[in-house]
Amino acid sequence: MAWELDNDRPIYTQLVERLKLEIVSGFYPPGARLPSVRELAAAASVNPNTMQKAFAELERTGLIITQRTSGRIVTEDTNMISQTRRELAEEQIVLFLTRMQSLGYRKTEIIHMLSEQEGKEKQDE
Amino acid sequence: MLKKLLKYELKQTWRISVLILAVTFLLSAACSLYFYMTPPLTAEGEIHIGNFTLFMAYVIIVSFVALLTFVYLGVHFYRNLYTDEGYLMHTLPVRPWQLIASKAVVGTIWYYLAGIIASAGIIAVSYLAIPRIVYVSPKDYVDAARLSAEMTGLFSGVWGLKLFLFLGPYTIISCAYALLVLYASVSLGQLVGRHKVMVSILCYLGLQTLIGGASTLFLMPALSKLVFLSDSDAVSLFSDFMTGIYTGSFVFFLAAGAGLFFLSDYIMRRCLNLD
Amino acid sequence: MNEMNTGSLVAIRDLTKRFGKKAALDHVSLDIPAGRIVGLLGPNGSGKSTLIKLLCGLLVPSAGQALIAGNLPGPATKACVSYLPERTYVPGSMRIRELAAFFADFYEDFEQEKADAMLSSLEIDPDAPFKTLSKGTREKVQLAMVMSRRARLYILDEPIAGVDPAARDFILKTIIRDYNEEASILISTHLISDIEPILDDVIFLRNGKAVLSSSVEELRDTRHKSVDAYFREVFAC
Repeated sequence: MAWELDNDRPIYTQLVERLKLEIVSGFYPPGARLPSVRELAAAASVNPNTMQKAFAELERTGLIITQRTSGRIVTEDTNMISQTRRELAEEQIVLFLTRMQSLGYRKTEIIHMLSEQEGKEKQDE
Repeated sequence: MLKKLLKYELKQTWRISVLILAVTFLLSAACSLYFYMTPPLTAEGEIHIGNFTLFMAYVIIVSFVALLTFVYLGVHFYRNLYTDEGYLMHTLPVRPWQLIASKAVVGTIWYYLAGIIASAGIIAVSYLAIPRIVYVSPKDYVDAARLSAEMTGLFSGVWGLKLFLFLGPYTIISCAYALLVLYASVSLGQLVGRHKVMVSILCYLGLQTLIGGASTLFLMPALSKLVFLSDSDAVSLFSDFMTGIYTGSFVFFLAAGAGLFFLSDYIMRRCLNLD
Repeated sequence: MNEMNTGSLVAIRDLTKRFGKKAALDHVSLDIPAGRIVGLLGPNGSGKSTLIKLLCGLLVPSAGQALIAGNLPGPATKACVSYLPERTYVPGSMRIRELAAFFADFYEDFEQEKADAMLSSLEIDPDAPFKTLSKGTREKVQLAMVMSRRARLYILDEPIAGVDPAARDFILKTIIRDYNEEASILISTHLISDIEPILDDVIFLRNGKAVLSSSVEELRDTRHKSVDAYFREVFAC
């Protein structure tokens, strides 16, 4: 099926996010060859030019590398991958905190709630 | 490209056309066999109503089946070029005249064959049927034999060869002409927004009336000459007259056929408007 | 030669088509460069079909002109335009195998292997007469034929109207995977949201006039909404 895309944001930024996620989650492991622009565009049901633009952005950050012979591969620099992973995680945390604060929780309360949740999950196991 | 169009036109039309030809042939063969097996009448003045009815029914059915070829070719032209299939045909990298030409050539072949087989069948069946419908005396046979010998004499030699060479192209051209009248009528029907088939039929009838009227006017002077002259050299006059008519209509078929061809081509080039 | 002047694959200048007094297309000027996927959007009766028919040489303009690769519509443009009409245009008695042979015979840019691969992925009997196929299968077979050409311009008229979601998915994927990269695709549709992600540019038609011609990214950037949402806004009555 086509990828789920939001209507109100540029498609290419959503493609970049999705590809980053697939790289940091190990769906495309370090050094793995990526499908061609055309194939990936077809899989996502998006315009090949847009997919090309997303690839260019990832190349600019160094997360993927274009090789003359074997097409595009994921970088083998695991540090860079974990750094990206960390950045994505931080984005999620900031987002989470903003939402919790808008519900009126202070940071200490939030941390307390998180450890409580952790305790509950351990009991369930 | 014209060659390819001809190939596909043949491929698309051969099934139904050959079926019609086969039905015509089988009907003629069955009737011939029946009359062949039936003994001829022997008494003077005898008439066999049953055989007469059968013979007439045969002639009507065979003419009708042969006419079906004509109707089928018209419907095929309409369907292939002016309905949904037109979207395929008119977006091929060919010119409209090539589409019309391929249909006219292949259609003429089928229509000509249908005409030949139906005529041959009717002649053969008549030959066998007449002695089974009315009594034919031995004297009549002798007369008929003499007449046919005279005819053969008349049509043999240079004159016969000329006639033969003329008759082939003449019938082919008249078939092609008849189809071009049909195609032009169908094309004219496309110029209106609604009731296109109805308008096509009206255009066909209109064109036929127009052409019939025009040719009668054209023949008037020749006909009056034929009536008012003495009968001393009637035979030669009549044969001159017929030669005149056939040559004239041959030229007419060629000219009018070309005109109708260009009319259909013009409509397809400038006024095409598929639904 | 005109191609050199305008730099575009399709150059439409003042194109007008009148039926009687009514102008179905009214002085439309547009350019479509090579290598773009362009959506032709507009409500029913806005002139989409008329524009497409003019480009395909199925209608003659009342005024103005359309040039495709520098040529007026005719045998030369028909040889490089691959057109999918919104209807079944294959004679019912024709078998799928015969249809492929027909395309191969008339279009020099037809790639038999590509067609064979697509047809085999559809798992249909190539000896089946066209009239025995379901509506969805007919559309897929016609699309397979059209996309098997290495054309310079693909014109797809409502390619996903009236098919189920699985067929729609197949159709969109086929379009993306199989078009010739140097070519452009013009897709007319009223189901914008399904097709929006595959478009580079959009053209909005209303009452026979081109009211907008823009890139999708630009539109989404400046209006902060999808083309679909913007379309509804523009055409709200």
